[in-house]
Amino acid sequence: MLIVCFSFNLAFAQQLLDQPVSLSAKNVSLETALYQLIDESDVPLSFSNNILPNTSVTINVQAQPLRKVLRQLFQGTNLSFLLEGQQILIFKRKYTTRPKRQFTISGFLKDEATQETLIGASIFDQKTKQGTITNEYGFYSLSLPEGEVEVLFSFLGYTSQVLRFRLDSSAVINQSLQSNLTLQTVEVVGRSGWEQQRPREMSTDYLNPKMVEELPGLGGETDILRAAYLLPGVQTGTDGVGGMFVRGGGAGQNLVLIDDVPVYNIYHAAGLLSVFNSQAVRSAKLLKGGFPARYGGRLSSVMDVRTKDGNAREWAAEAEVGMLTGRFSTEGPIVKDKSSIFVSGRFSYLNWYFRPISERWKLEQGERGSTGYEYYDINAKVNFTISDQDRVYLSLYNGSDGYSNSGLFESTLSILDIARNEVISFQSEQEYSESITWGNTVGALRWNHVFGNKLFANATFTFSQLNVDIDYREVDRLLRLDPTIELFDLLNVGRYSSGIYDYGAKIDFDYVPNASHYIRFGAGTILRTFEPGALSFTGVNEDIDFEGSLANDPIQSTENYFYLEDEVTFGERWLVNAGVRYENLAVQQRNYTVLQPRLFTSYKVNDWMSAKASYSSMAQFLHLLSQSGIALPTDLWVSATAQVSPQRSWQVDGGANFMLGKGLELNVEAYYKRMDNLIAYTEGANVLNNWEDNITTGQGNAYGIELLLRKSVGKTSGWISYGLAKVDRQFELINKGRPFPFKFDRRHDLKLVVNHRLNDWCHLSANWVLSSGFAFSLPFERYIFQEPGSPQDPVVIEDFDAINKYRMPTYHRLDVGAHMRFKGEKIVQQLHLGIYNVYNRRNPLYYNLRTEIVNRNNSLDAVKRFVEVPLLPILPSVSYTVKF
Amino acid sequence: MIRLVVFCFVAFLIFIAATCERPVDLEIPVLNPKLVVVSNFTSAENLLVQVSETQSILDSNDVTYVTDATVELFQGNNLLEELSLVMGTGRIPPFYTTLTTTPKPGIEYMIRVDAPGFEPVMAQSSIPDRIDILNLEVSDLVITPGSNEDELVFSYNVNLIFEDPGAQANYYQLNFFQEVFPYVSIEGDTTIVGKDLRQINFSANSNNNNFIAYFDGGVLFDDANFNGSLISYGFRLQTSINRDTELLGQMFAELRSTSEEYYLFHNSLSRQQLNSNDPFSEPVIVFNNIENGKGIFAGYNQAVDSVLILQ
Repeated sequence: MLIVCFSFNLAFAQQLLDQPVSLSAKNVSLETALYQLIDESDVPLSFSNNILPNTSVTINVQAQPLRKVLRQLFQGTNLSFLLEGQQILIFKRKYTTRPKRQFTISGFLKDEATQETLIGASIFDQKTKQGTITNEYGFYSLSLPEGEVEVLFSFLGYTSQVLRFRLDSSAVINQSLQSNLTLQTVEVVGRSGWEQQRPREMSTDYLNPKMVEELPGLGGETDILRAAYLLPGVQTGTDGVGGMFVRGGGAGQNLVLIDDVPVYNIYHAAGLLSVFNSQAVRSAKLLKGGFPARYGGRLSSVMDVRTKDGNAREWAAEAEVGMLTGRFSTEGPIVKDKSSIFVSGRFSYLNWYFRPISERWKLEQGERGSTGYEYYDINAKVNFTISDQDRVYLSLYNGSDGYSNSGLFESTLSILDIARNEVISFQSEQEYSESITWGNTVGALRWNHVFGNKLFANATFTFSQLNVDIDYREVDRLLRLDPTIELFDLLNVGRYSSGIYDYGAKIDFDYVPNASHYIRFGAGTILRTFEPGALSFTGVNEDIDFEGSLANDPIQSTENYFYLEDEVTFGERWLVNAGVRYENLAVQQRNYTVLQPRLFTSYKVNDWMSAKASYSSMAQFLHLLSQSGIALPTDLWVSATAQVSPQRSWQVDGGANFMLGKGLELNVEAYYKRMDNLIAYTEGANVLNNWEDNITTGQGNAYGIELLLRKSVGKTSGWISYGLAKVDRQFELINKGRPFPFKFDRRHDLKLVVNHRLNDWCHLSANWVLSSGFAFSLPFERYIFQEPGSPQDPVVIEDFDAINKYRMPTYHRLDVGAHMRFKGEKIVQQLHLGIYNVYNRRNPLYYNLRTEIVNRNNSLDAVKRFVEVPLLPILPSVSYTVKF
Repeated sequence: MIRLVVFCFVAFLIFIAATCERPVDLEIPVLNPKLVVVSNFTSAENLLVQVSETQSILDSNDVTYVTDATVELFQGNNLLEELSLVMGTGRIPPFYTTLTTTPKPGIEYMIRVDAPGFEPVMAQSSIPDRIDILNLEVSDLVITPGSNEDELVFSYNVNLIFEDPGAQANYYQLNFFQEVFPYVSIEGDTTIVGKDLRQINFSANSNNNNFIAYFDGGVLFDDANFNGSLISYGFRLQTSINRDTELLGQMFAELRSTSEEYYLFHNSLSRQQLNSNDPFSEPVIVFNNIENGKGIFAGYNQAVDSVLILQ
């Protein structure tokens, strides 16, 4: 109620002071001018004649806001005005050395329609040029000096709002913004608005789900991760295979958070798609450098994804049918404006395609069976607003992939038993079935509490697990028919499983003592259990049974951390975020302690340019061992151990932001990253054996320049980015210990994203990618090894010369899409049309060597040649969405 | 098998793509053929060298052996001998041999090979000191029928002790050979008609950075984990014979103390041979110590012991 009254008063003040007035006077006293204003415009001015200076004024204004007219009249005097009740009180400013009192406005910023909190929205006082942004829960706190304020609330995709009022006491202002897309307006206001603010972050990109929704998607799938691939400094393999590589980092060096909980496997189909169901995503941001101290645990990037809380105003539902998946979501209030629930699911129906095709193919090969692949994701979240200061969330994610392959080959043969002069028939059966399943489960229970109006606390309990299971069964049987006698039976059954289980607890605080400081601090602990691969197998060979196992012992570790960071502003130009993160790992009776200093600073040179620089020291207590480099589920997460040290890195970044025009921003950044204690499988390692005995330790370097020109206003928006980078690795037992290019060392990387709004219901989008080919190894020579004087067959050696010495052809691809939105009274329908890889560029995934037998001069001859295996051809897509 | 399942999954992922594979003419650099020199030499034996040439990976012709090369063996700057060509017979290809020189441990030898049309190549190596087998024991013999009716499988533990010299890195290859005597029975009399030495193979399941099953039998290992100590190695070995036609003889253990280049070459060669065939597996670069060419010139020493397996 208090808030409503306050808002009403603010509105009234704004209305009165914005009232247009006219005044024309020449060389009259100030007193005369004020009375003239009262008489002609009926303005409730209240003042004492004694305070008016004995000066004359000349003024001629027509239909100008009252506040502007008063300021013009009082120019050069020590007079000021404020609204008191329904009167405008004119008073004499006292000249005093006492600093102005500071008051704090705080609250939550929300979406007007759904009451979802807005993350990273800007709150900026245009008078004092001081501002802040909402935290991950939509909370903000801004301390400003007493007096007139003009607070601009803005957020990408939302209509900005300005509140003008006199600040004379601290207040809670829970503000709501209206979505631009809901209003079908054509302007998208950038996060920072037109006026250039000091950059608060380094190398950070925000991925607005509404913007991502408009991008062309693979198979019609909106995918936040594939949108991230379009940012500078973010690399991936052919069509996404291989996963995400940020500024030369490995696939396992990305901290991917769903509602602040780390997720270990973020890919479906080896990286073609991600586990993020776009219907569930509320916000996402990607940090590539300048990591604040609150983030830790990975070396190269942070992808912070927040899921929807659920519509607290009304029930809504959404369903989508695409070519690869079907999706649904539903959300609504449990108690209106107090608590809500959100549930969404995504299920692939790839098996509708794969099963019949594979069955047919196998039948042609003379066997019965099929091959299949499918996946699903489920997100659920509930939140309860217990009081104005307390809110509780429970969020869950579960996703899984499943691959299966089975077959039965039967054949019958007959032989003539000459001794008995009878035909004996036999039946041979070869049966196999194999499956790989992998999936994540993530859960978080959190409690938000606001202490006063300056301290925000968030306590969280987290759980995250990744499981991988591989099963196979092989039966080889020979039966004699008439009578049926089993003559021969071979059975092989095996199971491989690996997993990682996290239990965590943490508490984070945001403390905003004044407008110059934003302090974050917190602590947490994570208990991890690694089960890095256990293989068991059983065989039955006639009368002999055998069993065996190859197991890596489970490893348990405890990770504790504490961080403190302070974002300090010095005047209107300097901003510094200095912090430190302390991490400790206890594993196998060994303790690793790492202190990681972080520093970010920005300087506003002028209204259109700012410079920035950062230093980040990072540590990572776990490693991802990949045997293939294509994000297979069998890639193994392992812990730092008594023998294997944690990964370390340090990174420096420098850059500048240029505001080139309204909504047109150029961001230039350069970076250098040094990585140490990296591990990789030794060349030709046995990946099923104890991993610690089959790895080698090394280091990496990455440096580059990135340019991002982004247009965020107008009918046509989008960005163009260019990256120039060089990345290498060096391991003791790989490539003879010499440095070699990292697989995703793409020297040049150009990306273009365009979104054009044709009208209120239709917009078109396109993205084009042009990148240097990734590095790979290829043998161009061969020779033989044979002991001299020995009759043994020679062994052919393929001569690779060096790792990743060669480059794939330049990768390029154009995707286009059309997004149509039909809004009815109660139903909104959306139709997405898209074409992936429009001009059918066959970007190769790998090369293979094939031998063909050809007829050469009437004799058979073997001809060897390389074949190029591309992945995705031109793929039209359509998806239909209905929202209730 | 697990690798096979993963490979099937990979194959499935590229199922559609693979149907679209197309031949390409990669811009393979035109590389002049290089000399390939292979020589693993040991003490008290003539030094043998095989010389062939490299081929393009796309070349499907048989390998060409170089028979017009000048192969010289040096000790420092002193030419010890020019090797003589021995033309091959049957399955044995041509090779070069010393006639008077037998290498000795501790001496650095250099080989130089020059052939028309090729850049001259050279390499250096030496023979390490012999490491004696201090003890060789067999225990826990178990005899079981094999999968074939007439097969007998012998499983037993072998324990071998030797002393690793300290203060230096040492490299080893350990081979086990089972002696088998084919026989015939004529009217109750057993007549041995020959002798066979069968090398015992090791599973690659135990491979690690310091220990690897050699693709052609035996194991290679270094002393990184036990430098300068008395080493006792135990293995469970298995061999099989035909119960109707063969008799079991002695089991021989050969401990090779090898030069570093010998170890690195055979280690990497073995890893490449065992490497997965899927197109995404990282390659193995085979070690090479032939300057301007390919191959291996490496010395080793050997100690042999044997034990009789009592049936």
